[in-house]
Amino acid sequence: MPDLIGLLGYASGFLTLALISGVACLGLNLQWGQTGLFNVGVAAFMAIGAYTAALLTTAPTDGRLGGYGLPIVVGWLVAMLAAALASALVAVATLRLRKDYLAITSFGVAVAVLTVIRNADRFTGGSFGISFIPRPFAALADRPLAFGLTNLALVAMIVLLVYWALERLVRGPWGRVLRALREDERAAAALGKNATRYRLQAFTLGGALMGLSGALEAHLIGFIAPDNFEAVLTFQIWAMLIVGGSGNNLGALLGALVVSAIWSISGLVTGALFPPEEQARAAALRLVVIGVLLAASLVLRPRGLLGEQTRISRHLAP
Amino acid sequence: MSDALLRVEELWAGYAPSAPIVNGVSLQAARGEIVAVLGPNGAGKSTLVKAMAGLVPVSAGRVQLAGKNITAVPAHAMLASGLGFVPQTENVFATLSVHDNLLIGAQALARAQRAPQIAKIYALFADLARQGLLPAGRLSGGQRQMLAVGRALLGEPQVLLLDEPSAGLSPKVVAELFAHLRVISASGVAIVLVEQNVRAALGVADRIEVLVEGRNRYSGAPSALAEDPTLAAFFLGATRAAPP
Amino acid sequence: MNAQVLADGLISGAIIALGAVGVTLTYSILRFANFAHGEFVSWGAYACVCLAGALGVWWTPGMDGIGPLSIGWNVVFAGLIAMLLTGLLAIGLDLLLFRPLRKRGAALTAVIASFGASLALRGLIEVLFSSEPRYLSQDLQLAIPLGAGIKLTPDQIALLGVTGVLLVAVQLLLTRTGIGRAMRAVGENPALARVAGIDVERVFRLTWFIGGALACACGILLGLIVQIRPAMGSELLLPLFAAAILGGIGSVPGAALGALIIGLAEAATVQWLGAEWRSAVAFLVLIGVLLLRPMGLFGRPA
Repeated sequence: MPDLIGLLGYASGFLTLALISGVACLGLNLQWGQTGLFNVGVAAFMAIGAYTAALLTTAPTDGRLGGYGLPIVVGWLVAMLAAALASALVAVATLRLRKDYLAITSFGVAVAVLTVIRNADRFTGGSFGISFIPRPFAALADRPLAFGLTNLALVAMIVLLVYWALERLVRGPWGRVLRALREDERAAAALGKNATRYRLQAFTLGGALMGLSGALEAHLIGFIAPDNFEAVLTFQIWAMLIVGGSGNNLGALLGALVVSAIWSISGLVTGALFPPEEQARAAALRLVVIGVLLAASLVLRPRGLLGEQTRISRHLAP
Repeated sequence: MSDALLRVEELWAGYAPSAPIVNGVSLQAARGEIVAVLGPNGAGKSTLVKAMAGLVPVSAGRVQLAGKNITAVPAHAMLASGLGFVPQTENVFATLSVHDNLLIGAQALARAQRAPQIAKIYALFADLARQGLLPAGRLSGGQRQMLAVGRALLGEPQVLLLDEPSAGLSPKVVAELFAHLRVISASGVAIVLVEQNVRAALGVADRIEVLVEGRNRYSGAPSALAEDPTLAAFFLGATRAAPP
Repeated sequence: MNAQVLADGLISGAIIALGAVGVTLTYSILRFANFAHGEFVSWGAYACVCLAGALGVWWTPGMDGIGPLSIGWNVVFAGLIAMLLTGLLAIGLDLLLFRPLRKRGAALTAVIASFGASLALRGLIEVLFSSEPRYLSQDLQLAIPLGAGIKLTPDQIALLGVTGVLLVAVQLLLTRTGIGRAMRAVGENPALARVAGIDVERVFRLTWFIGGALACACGILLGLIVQIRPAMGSELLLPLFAAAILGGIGSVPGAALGALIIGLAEAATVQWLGAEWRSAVAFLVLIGVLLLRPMGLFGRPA
């Protein structure tokens, strides 16, 4: 009987984290799958959300600013706003330029954010990160299974809400404009500066979702540190979108589940291949395997599990 | 008419196989002959020469040059097969100097040949000789066309395709350009010329091909078209009524 | 202004320049931002240190320092072979990953693929070599006073010399040779280049080779002056992009100048704010360029 409960606890924890990644993946789908915008700094926006929420909701701590002890929900909302603001700034700086300049800039933002959270000890706790982040339903903390399941239910409800809202947006007129912009640059030119406005809205909303994801994880785990937000995280979210099928919200969620599972399983396998003191190499091996699988799937089955048919480009010249 | 140097037979081409733009077009050009391809907007004239040059996928039919089937030859090998192409827009390397543009054209020649052949191009297009070091983007429209033609000529093509060379040029410059084309054809090069400027084309062509909606509609001497206004009006875009 | 900051900036700038020139060439000719370029730097350094070790075992006199330098001929020969191998690695990666995506018209997907490839390549280094730092030479060197308060070690002087030679060689290749002209032509207009008889795929392969070889040189010099670690190249990636964009994509002198500016800015930042803030410099330069003059110093307005 205890084993079953342990298993259930593990499963609910896994599912909770997978769904939280799914929220970030939904945001990325909005930016890339629906609008064709290229964000290589996903981790940065998740970090902004996580740290904002943590700083607002934790109790005051020595040597670190922040710690206002605000309610968790407030933390989440402000986290979304902060991430949205950062996304908007990046977008405004780069939307009128070549598409890959957005990629490079977002990559730069990721590096910059990581540098700041690592070194601005007074704000962010530096390499030690921020601990004792309040958990939702903290009263249940002494009953692990109930705690886990309740949090899972909370996250699931949030994901459902986000999914429903996105589906309505994407299937409506706004979403249609986005897809038109993604497919046809001339349509974009015809819409003139309005094209920039639509893209800005999409990028900002996507960034807000990434911030929400970061905030959710901060509160569900209770602890964040700079190491959580390295390039690997961006890679994971992208892998989820590619595997699930970009352009498709359900695909984004499915991809989150599948890639989370593959990540955990491969972690167990590679961990077993190396002695305990060499676990860093095991993690590196996992990265290699998943990286190769992802590259292979990009080349061989680009539409992922549920994605749209790739269209033949109208302009076949390189 | 002497043996055709260039033979295009029932060519079907377009960017997507399900939506062909060129629908079974045939044409020929002999050594030293200038053939003008005319027709209303959207008739597929540009797509035809691009397909011949290997830039647009061909779904059926073939292109033969001096008896050799060159339909499947990749675009960059066309020049070596004897087919030169001068596109309508962006036909020179604007950031490279005039001389560098010509050096690119002469790349396939033997090293010792390059300087003399380039000197010949400068002799043909006197304007360019004075602008050797200028970036090609700063040339006037007419000079740019001459540079584009000069670059293609350096590849010693047997057939030269030009896509609307007169576009954007003043009548005086067009006349000058077309005079040069006549000199080039006199040396034995077959020229196929896609044109919107019907008057100028009729003045230089030995034969005309009219395309409408991607199909051959008329083939013959330029005089016939010039002398019959109804024919001209119909084929060159005025009406869609049935031909007389 | 501390003159030593100038010297440090120059060294930093030289290292960045070798990588940035490779980035600017592959970016302008292949038209995509290759996020795996940093891994060419790392792989190049590791290839050199492994080959140098193997060569040293087989030919011990080769390990003696050349004159005042801390490295021996084994490193020089190993370096040349490593540059060749890294050039081939770049071509191989293109063949396997980027080219199929390019043929399909999915150019932006190639960028995300390059990002994934960079993580995989970095991981592979760690799996094979662990993250223990390695060194091309164990010798300590004394810095030689050169006047005006500047001191450089013999290795650093050699680094500047090698970088200068390589940069001049690349620029001469681009401006004075047929293949260089072809590269510039493809960079400007690949469709016209095809029409002009240029084998564009061959130009792509050569571009990858040069980019990879230069990245390897960058890694070897970085490994010489600092150390060799799996993350050495990926940490350099943002400065490489920033330098290339600052200089104007496609311009070799531009990339070199951009690299120098960033090197100096980083050295000044390390001096006045501390080494931990170094990574922010490239980001600020990048943002500045994109906001004020996106085409860069020597680029053409769009």
